[in-house]
This record gives sequence, structure tokens and C-alpha cells, in this order.
Amino acid sequence: MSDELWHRLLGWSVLYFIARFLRQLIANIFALIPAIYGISRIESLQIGIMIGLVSTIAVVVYAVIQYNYFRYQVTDDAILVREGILFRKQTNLGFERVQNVSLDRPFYFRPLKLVTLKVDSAGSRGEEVNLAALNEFEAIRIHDMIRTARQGTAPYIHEEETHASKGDVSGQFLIDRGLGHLVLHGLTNNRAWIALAAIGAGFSQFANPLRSYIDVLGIDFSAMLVDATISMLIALAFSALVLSMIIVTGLSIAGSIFAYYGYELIGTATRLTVRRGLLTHRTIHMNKSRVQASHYQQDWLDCVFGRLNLVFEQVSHQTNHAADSDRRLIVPSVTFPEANNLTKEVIRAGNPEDYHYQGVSIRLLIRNLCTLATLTTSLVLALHLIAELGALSLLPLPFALWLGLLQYYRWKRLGITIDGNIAIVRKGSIGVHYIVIELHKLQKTMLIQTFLMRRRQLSSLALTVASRTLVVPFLPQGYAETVRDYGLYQAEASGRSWM
Amino acid sequence: MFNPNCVTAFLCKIDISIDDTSINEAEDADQSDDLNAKPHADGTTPSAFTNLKVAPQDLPQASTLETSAMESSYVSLAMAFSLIRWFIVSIAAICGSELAFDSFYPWIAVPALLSLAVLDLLLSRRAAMVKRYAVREHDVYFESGVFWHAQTIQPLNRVQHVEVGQGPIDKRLGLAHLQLFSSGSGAASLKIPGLTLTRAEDLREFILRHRETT
Repeated sequence: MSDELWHRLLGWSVLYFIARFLRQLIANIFALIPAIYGISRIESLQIGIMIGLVSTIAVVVYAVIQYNYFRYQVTDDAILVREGILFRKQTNLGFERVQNVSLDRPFYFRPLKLVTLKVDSAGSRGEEVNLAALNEFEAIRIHDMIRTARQGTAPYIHEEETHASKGDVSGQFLIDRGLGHLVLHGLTNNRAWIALAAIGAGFSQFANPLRSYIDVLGIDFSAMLVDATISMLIALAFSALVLSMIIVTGLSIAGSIFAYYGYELIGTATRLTVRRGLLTHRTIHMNKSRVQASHYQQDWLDCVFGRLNLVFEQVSHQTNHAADSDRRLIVPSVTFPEANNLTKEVIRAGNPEDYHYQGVSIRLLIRNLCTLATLTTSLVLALHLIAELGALSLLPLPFALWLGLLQYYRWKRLGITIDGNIAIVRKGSIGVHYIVIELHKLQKTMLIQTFLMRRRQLSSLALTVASRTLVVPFLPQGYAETVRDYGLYQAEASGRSWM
Repeated sequence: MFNPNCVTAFLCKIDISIDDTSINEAEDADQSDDLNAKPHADGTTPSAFTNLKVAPQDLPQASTLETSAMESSYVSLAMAFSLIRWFIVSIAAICGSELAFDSFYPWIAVPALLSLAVLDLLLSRRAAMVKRYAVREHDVYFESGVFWHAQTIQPLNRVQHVEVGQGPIDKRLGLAHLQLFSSGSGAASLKIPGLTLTRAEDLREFILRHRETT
């Protein structure tokens, strides 16, 4: 191929490469801890500044070289990208394999009115294309090319989509999320546990200076400890716990606001469009037909506020489970009616709360409780006989009772129902989870049985769609077989695509 | 640990969930009774099934499929693998105990190793013998597992690619395995071992042809 066809990015894209490098650096923060520790040990200021300067220059030079080697080309049916310094890599992403297209406006591109076009592949992971620093006009042109090409080649177009293939640019506003919702989302979804782990790792480093500091103050800690009553120690531990909880929650709320600020979901007949982000304005387009499952996620804290997160799942590759991945479209902190309306935009299902669910056998509960009882008994015995804790060795009992209660609720709730082309699985212990799938998108079915289950005519059913496998254990065998046969019939006879 | 208001609200929530689950309990109880049996003869469908497009008794039933076992040489292959595995394990055990305890206690190690090996041999044989497969017009059926018996069905119109493979020992015995890959599962979604090479290739042709026609 001649070189004229290959385009270069704008010079501003160097900023993108710098940002990408820094992001990768932060992602590998745990590997960097020795280096950070080393740097923190440097005593002279000059050497510190020198190191800072040199590494900044190195990062910039690296980004410039990356920019220099980056070439892209948009043909009628694919995007081609050549990149890499030592290892040249050419990506050839055909439009028919495009999963999502998103337009990112990071804070450093916003004053320049530039965008980054991000194209995800439905195929293997790591096969995605990022074109940085495009001007808005160019980005939208490429985006429209992908869209029209995709609609032209789509083998199965539903009745509702045919009349809307062209000119449905004006979308219907579906939902937006205010700051209050995001604070709730941050509160209920501790995305900051990673930060907690980092603090835990860092604590051992703080411990030594802290101790020497205390020595300087002349406090004899050990003498204090002897005098300290148990209650005082407990109060100390409790306040430490509360403090760390506040910190973690604060970080979590901040994370939620950064990711979802200005959240807005817009739907056309065939697509969903999400706008969100504080520093990076991001616009993500997702084809409705690519949604594999709608997941109502309600954890116990969500349950307190009567909220849930709705997740539209797309094809996943197991390794890709980052909470912020574009393959999962999250609508944070919605109410049940809102979630039902949004789900109806994508999957024609009724309200999951209104159905009657096929429950699972009590033997599942019995099995789980027996396992729990065995574990607890052996733990208590071990504490009593080996650790010789006396009455304290009964400490695991309340926890075990609590776990048993949760198991009971989980068993009560677990169930599956079929409505036409829809299967809904209900689960969860305190908060409720509904997972709605379309049966014609089934990839595989499985019935699993142990010897004991066969005797009782029970069977576990596993329904696999491209985003997840739904497992409902201990169903009556006749029911499980009927669901399997019916689901397979939908997948094989309907002739509808799963994409 | 938490704001006391939160805690009370949380407890209230549990109370509520107790209430509505206890309502469900009554319904569930009579539900599971009539569902332990197959769908009713008079054609009514269970209530956890609504708006069905086809009546369950008209569906092709996978449970009545005629399945075929693997090639008989596959059983010997599985046993051969078990023997090889235990040969390696015993050598490792002998070397390891020599190094760790400076001596080798044959009267403990030999019976222990032997009994484990026999157990594994019997299990491998059983595992190879319970594997069965069947091919329908639109899907492939495969069952396996001694303790956890699994029946997997892979619709052919969801197969993304097909692979026929042969290991070095497979080749000697004229065996091959067929792997089907569908979306959303990293590894193969279905692997059928112990087929003859021609059978595996025929199946591959059949699956590819199916994909072209739909």
C-alpha cells in the first residue's frame, strides 16, 4: 500500500500519548512501589529535581516518538492502524466487527475542540483503535461511516429498526443522573477498595516513623498499654475503623463523580448513546441489538436507599471485568420503575418484579447449611482445643448464624422465569438481582447433575449468553429440561442473530 | 461502624424482605410440587412459563436423544494417560522423599501410591466411558463427568469456529478431538474427544455447511 493513503494524527495527540503512558503507569502502581520508596529516600533536593526533570523529558520524548510512528487509514470497510516503535503492529479493524464507538473529550483536548475516537472490537481483546486529537468534524465523519457500513451489512434487521435505518439522529432522551445520584452510587459501590489496599500496604511504611515520632514525644507506649482498659482499646480501634470508612467512602464518591458526572442516556430506535465524565467528556454509542443481558444490580446498601444499578452487558472475554469497561453500560442509582423502563428500551420484557418465579429445591439450602455447620463446628473446636480460648471460641457462632440467615434469603429468592423470548433469573440475599436475557441470544446450554441430585430428580441449569453464564442450581429436572429445550428452540429456530 | 439511621433502615428492609418472601414461600411450595412432574397432560403450562411460542411437549426433547459413546480406543487412551501420570508422580515422589527425609519408606509409600494410582485409573476409565455425544440437525450434544454429570448443548448457528486436533498418542490410535468455539467463552465452549479422525472431519464439514446455509 502506498504511503499517501496513511494519515498522521495532529501534533496535539502527543498529549494523548503522554496521558496514556501515565495511565498505564498508575495502573501498574504496585509494581512501582519499590521505585517510589527509593525516590522518597533521596535526601538532596537537587537530585530529586533532576530525576523529576529527566523522567518528564523521557516521557515526552517517548510520546513524541509514538506519535511519529502512528499512522492510520480509513477505508470503505475498515480502519487500519500502524503503530509501535520496536514492534510494529498493524491493526485491521473491519467495520462489521465494531462493537462500540465512543468519542472522548479529555480535559486537555477540550480547549482545542479535539476529540479521541475510540473503536472497540467485538472480536478479541486488545484489538481496539484509538485515534487521538481528531477534529470534531473528522471524528463524526468516521463515526458515521462505521455506522452506515454496519447497518448496511447487518444480516438481520428487526421490523422496528427498518424504518429507522436513516435519519434517526435525533434521539429520545431516556435518563440523566444528577450529583445526588452519583453521591449515592459512590456510597453504595465501594470502588475504592483498591485505595484501601494501597493504604494498607503503605501503613507498614508509616509505622516506623510513627513509632520514632512517639519516642521523641516521650510517651511510653508500652506503659500506657498496660494501663489501658479494654474498652479504651476498643474505642481506639473503632474510631480508626470509622475514619478509614469515611476516607474510603469519600474516595468512592469522588470516583463516582469523576466517572459519571453529567450522565445522560439517549436512545434512538437502534442505539443507545451515553454522555458522561468530569475530566474526560465521553460519548459512547452502543447498538441495542448487541446488548446481551440487562442486569439489575442491588447490593445491600443500595437496598437501604431503594436504588439499584442497571447494567447493559455486551460480549465479554472473561479477562475484561474492569468496573469501568465500556463493554458494560452502567446506569448508576436508578429506581426500579426507571430500570424497568430502560430495560424495555432494549429488551421487550415485562417488569421482573411482577413475574412468578420457579424456585429451587430446599435441598440446596440444606446442603449449604450443612456445609456451614460443619465448617463452624470445626472452627469452634479448633479454637477451643488448639488455641484454648475457652468461652471466646464461641465467637464464630453469631457470624455463622448471620451467614445461615443470608443463605436462607438467597435460597428463597433464587429463581427463574420464562416469558416468551425472555428469561429472567432472580437472585441475591438482601438486595435483589434480576438478570434479563433474550433466549434467542443463547450461546450454549448445560444441565449439571450429581449422583444425589439425579436420585432426587434435580438438575442445575446453566444458560450461557455472550456476556455471562446464568446458573440456577437445584431446579426440578423436568422444568430445567423444558427450559433448555425451549431456549435451544428459540436460538435455533428463530433465525435471529445474537449480535 | 455506620450511621445508626442507616442501620435501622437496613433492619427494616430485612423485615420487609421477610414479609414478602414468606408470601412467596406459600406460592413456591405448591409451585414446586406440580413442577416436579413434567408439564401437565392437558396442555397447561407451569406458571413460571408465560407466553410460550411453542408448547413444551411439542419441543424437540434433548433428554430422549439417542447418543453414541466414544471410540473404544479412547478408553484405553485415557487409561494410558493415567498410567503415564502416575509413573511421573511416583518418580517425583521417590526423588522428593529421598531429598526431604534422606530415606525412602517403601512400606508406606508404595501401597499409598499404588492405591491412589489404581483409584485414578478406575476413575479415568469411568470418565472416558460415561462420555457420550449426539449430533442433531441444529446442535451438538455432549455429556461427560463422573461426579458432576453435565449435558452440554451447543447450537450450531452460534459456533464461531471449529477445530480438529490430534495429539501424538491420538495419532497412533487414529483418534482426534473436535473443538467448537462460540462467543463469550474464552476457551473452547465444547470439546469432544475420542472421535476417529474421519468422524471428526465429517462433523467439522457438517458444522461449517450448517453455518453457510443459515
